[in-house]
Amino acid sequence: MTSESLGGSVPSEAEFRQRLRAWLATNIKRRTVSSTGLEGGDPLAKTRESPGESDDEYRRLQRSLFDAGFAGVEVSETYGGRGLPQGYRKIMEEEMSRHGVKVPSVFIDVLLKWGSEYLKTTHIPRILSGEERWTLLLSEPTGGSDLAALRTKAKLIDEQFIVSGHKAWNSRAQFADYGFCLLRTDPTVEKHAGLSVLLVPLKVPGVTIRPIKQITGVSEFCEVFLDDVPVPASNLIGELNNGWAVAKTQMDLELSTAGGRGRIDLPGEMVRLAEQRKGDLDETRLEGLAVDAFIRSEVERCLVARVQARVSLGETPRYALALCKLIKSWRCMTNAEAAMDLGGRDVVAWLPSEPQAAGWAIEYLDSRGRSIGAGTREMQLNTVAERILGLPRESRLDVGKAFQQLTEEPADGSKQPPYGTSLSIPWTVETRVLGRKV
Amino acid sequence: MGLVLNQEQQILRDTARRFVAAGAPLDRARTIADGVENSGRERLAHMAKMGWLEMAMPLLGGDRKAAREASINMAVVCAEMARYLQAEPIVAVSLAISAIANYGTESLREKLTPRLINGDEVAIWCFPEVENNSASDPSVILTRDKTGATLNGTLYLVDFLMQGDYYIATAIDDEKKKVQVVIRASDRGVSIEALETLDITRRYARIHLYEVRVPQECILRTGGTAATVMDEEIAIATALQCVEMVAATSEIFASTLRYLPMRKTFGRSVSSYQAIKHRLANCYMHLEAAKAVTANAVESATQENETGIAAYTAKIYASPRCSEIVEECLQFHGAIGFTWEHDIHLYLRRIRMNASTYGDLAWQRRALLAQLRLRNGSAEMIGDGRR
Repeated sequence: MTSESLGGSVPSEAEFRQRLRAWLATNIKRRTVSSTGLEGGDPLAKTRESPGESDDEYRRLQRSLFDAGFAGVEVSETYGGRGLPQGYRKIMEEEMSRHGVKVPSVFIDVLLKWGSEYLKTTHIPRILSGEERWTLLLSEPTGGSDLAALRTKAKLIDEQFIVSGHKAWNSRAQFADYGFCLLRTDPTVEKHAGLSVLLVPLKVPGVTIRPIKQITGVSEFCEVFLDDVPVPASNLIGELNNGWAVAKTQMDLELSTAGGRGRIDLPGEMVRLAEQRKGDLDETRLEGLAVDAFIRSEVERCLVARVQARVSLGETPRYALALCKLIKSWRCMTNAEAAMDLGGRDVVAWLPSEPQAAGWAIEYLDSRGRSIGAGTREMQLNTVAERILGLPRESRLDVGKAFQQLTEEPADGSKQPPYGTSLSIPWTVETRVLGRKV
Repeated sequence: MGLVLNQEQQILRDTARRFVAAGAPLDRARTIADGVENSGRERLAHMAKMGWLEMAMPLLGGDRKAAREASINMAVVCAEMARYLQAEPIVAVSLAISAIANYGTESLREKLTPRLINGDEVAIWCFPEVENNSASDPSVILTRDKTGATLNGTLYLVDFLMQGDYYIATAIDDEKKKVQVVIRASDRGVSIEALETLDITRRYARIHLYEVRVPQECILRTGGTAATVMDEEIAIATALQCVEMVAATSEIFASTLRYLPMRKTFGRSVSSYQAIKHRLANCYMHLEAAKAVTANAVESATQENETGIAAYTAKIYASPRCSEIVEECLQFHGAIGFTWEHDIHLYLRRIRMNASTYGDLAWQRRALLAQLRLRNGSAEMIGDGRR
């Protein structure tokens, strides 16, 4: 234990922050992400260079945080945490985010709320010490927005679930030991009512994990194939068929951070470039692009602060966090488009010896995912319209029907069921690239 | 409006709300629109009695804590007045009082301040507009002599509802320095033309100055800091103007949300169509964001080393967004929204005209870029917006 580490006594918040800062300064390599772009740096740094991005690095970092007393600061000591008040966790999150490191807290929160004593005592200490990593198994290739229509299923046979299905967009699943998996345990009831959450071991036979190559050419996510994977019944998180509530807890906790932030340093780079180009024919327009980019970033900062403050004061429902997601994707996407306009020829073609020039092009491509990931823009707009403005809900064809009714052909063959009869998955690794096998 | 108010400010807001709501507030806006003679002086006296004019005094002058409180107080009043498009130019009146109270020569201060804060006389602060509306250098020229100075030039767009007794103008002197002066409306050489305007709920005028004598006591004692004082005035005016725009837009958006569910087409309410819902949600997001940047601008405008960045940012963002939201609200109403009788056009006129007063958007953008360059030059990160 180093001198900066936390030791045994309870420090004041200020003292805690100071020690944490000192510890992080000596133990974490500075993130290089912000240096990407036209002025140098590696265009792919985004996916490689943040600390804890490689599996080994992540586990080592988490272990040393744990050893120094900086893991699970708000988690009870029974489960391997420090048992400090919630305020310390906020400090943790703030300081860690300055280094681009995420505190693995959401899964722990969900386990604390829903998990059995067995699950809590077994897994929380391992997560905190970096011994164990989890991934989220929610989305499926057949549908993202209509999550509760998922088709991955589990059958309980002799104290053991047998799980089969196909999950997609699972962040860093290739490194994960377990998946927090929402699946169907009862198809004979309404679609939300027949779901459960199981903790599925991923390093076992029957599990195939393949990276999804995104339009940027990098892989931040995987798809996970589950073929009759046995899972002990004791791995059920929450009660059987109450999985929607459990998953909802997870999604609510993730809502404020969902979707990523993109390049926040872009406006500064743009102002600099606009200045370099003084004297260009289109000077005023170029400056305008940079000014607008700056304004969008400011607007996002102010709105996010306002919404978070109002939510925590109870002045507006948590659904208002959808506004944060909407404004972030608007800022990311519009700024990236403006940067491409500003950069012109120089950011669409570069010499192999100058790969840093690819920074803005990669940000542009990457930004297209901001209005899709973690709930599409259209779903967020529905949330705002229905839950905040109180406008009428969209009409649905699946209300009051058992899930199997929605997917099975009726006996008289009269009408196609709402979700279609085909259980085959329209989007597979083999077919998705214009018929070319990859 | 987006600001977090303390208890006193909440009481002020409720008082202002009652003041505006007494009598049908939009009928009042309509009488101005219909051109009924109304100087607004009586109402100003009423506002003075409630202490609202005195409240504006510390906006300028360098007491940061008092200035912050004053700007929030004035924002509260501006918001309540603007919700129902009240005509009184609170921003111009407040800034004039504060400029005279803090930078007036002693004799001027003693003579004017009590009369102004009681509403007996009215002084109007003028934004330094120039003819082509593109530069920040004022278009009024001041020539000094032994007993004072002579002014020549034009104040292009001046708040005129109350037909002020005094106007505060920014001029350029022989040494190309900015200087602020108090002009009497009755002075020889001052000629005033009332203007017809897009916004018919307010009154504006153009003031020509030809060889106007300015005695020494009417030159504000801003020393060498007139440029800084002017920047500060502009930041405050811009922030408060954003408050007015956001408050008026909130009102029309809320009334649209009340109306749409009642309007039925093809057996369902107009508000149940997803195309409409998404546009409303989008409007709401931009409205909330406009409130957030506006609150940030009000809180920053009076602060030390404030370069106007927060205020310019707020206006450049909020102004076009508010226009778009009101335009959308008009569209959602369909044909009824295009009638003279419906109030939407009054809001549209007010908000669209605000975009071009107190520094139009091109002016604001140029000012923001200049400040960003200065900040960038000092090698600070501007990208994540944190200072």
